[in-house]
Amino acid sequence: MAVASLKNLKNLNDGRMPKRKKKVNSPWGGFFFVLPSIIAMAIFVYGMIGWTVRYSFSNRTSAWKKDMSFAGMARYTELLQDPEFTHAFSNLLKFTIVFMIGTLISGLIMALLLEKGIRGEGFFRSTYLYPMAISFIAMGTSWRWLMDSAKGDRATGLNLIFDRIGLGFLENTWYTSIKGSMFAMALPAIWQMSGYVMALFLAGFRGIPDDLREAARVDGASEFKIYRHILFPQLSPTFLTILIILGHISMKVFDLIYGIASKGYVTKVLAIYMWQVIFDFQNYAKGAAIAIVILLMIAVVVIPYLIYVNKTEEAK
Amino acid sequence: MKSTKATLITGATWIIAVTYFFPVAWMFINSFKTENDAASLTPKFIFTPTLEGFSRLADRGMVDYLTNSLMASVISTALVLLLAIPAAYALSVRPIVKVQDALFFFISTRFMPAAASILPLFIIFKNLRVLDNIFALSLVYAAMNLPIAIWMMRSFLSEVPHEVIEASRIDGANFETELWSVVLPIVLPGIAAVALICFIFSWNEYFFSVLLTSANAKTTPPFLASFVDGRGQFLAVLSAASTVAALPVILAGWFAQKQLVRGLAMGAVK
Repeated sequence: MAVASLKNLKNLNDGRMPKRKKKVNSPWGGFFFVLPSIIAMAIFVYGMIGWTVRYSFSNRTSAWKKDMSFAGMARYTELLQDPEFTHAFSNLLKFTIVFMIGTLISGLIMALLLEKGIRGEGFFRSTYLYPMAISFIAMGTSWRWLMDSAKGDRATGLNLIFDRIGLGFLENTWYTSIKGSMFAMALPAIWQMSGYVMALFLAGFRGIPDDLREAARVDGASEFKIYRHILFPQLSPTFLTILIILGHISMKVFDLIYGIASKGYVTKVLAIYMWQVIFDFQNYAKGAAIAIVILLMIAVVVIPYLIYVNKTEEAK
Repeated sequence: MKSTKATLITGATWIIAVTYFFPVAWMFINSFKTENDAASLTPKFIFTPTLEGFSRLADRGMVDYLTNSLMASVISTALVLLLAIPAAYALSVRPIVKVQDALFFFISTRFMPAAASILPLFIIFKNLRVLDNIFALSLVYAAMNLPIAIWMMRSFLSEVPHEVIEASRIDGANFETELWSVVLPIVLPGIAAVALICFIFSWNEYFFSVLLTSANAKTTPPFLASFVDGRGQFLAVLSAASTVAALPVILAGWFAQKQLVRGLAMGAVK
């Protein structure tokens, strides 16, 4: 995956480039060490996915009536005519766009700030990264308070801050109104993931040999030009990795939204709708079809990327 | 000129850091308030701290949920290490053929959405009568964390200097000695990072837990989520619950900062 960029993470601490590893003998010796894990993952992930696919093509539209007869694309065409599905789908797309752009920009800013090695870098690095480690179900508490929709005299959280510093016009209803709900929801998501983007960028910067910058500086290039023409082009694999990782996290999003707004309509995304259809409405087949839609959205982006990375790694 | 720029950069870094810390700090502060103080419209920063919120959690049986979370996280982490260390070893120190393909396979499973496996899992659990069983849930968590553990572990193992292994082989070390007394001590910090990440991911996991458990094996996140519907009320007690739930992560960040940062930076493919 991420192979190239994640390998660079080693540079985070020591600034050295990883050593090329030599091939060793005994090609089959370790095979039995890997086999149990391969079997476990094949069953747990691909076995279950296959099963879900089977459900999505069936007539099992209730939990109790065990009708597994083949229904063709019936469940999928049902989805296309289901306004709630299209609503969740477009919500997810809106969320994805805002989340990806926001996280990319804030992560890049953090990396640029830390990149030159400021004092206490380690402290800032972990402060920016830690939101990723805290359960979003737990953080929902704070975010609901911060993004409370009450205005004026009854305002709390961010609205209160806006009110006090004279930016009252910025007060808004956050995730509770249909218009801006997904934009508001992207805020905690950006908070959660931009530290990770920072780590990837930082590792990328550290992986670029210092000579390159020095040479450009000697030639009289400005700081801006050095970034624009020398450093950023080197980071294009990092950009790609970040986009793929953020994209697939976004398609899966569930905890983060559930922790703040539960199953509310205005912030409903595909994973939450799937949850409702399967476990609240007990429509197994239709829920399976939604799960497969999520899967396909991810696969379309991730599989070509993985194949590409796999090939470039082998060529090395 | 130069120093102005440096001051600006330091200032910006601090502003971001404080902003970043605020949601967690706020949760922490609220957890020591009375419900009245927490519900106050003007945010109160000065108040008489109370442990009322925490004691009400204990009345609600949070200790049981925490125990369940702890069990699921520890069992699954142990299982993951048991499988991942040999697998990663075979993929790095003694590479098998087609290493890239195996890694590709593992990482591909990590990208797949949990949503696509939840329905069959639920049905299997129901048929095997292991719904609401903490051991069964731990198995799911182990499978969930296995690919990233193998991936991280392999990366740490590839850093072991080749000369060290060669030297031990020349000294006639057999496979077990090579693994246990030569390689493992070197990668111990790496193993700690992997274990920490697996623990945290299991500790925070909500999606599988809320579905596959109910009364007996329920973990902390579903317990927290059961508060979500009551909007605006119980802010203090909910903050206390969230603080307790986030505490292991915050403590881990304190004591094992290096491992955590490294693990997080590598482990994002959730």
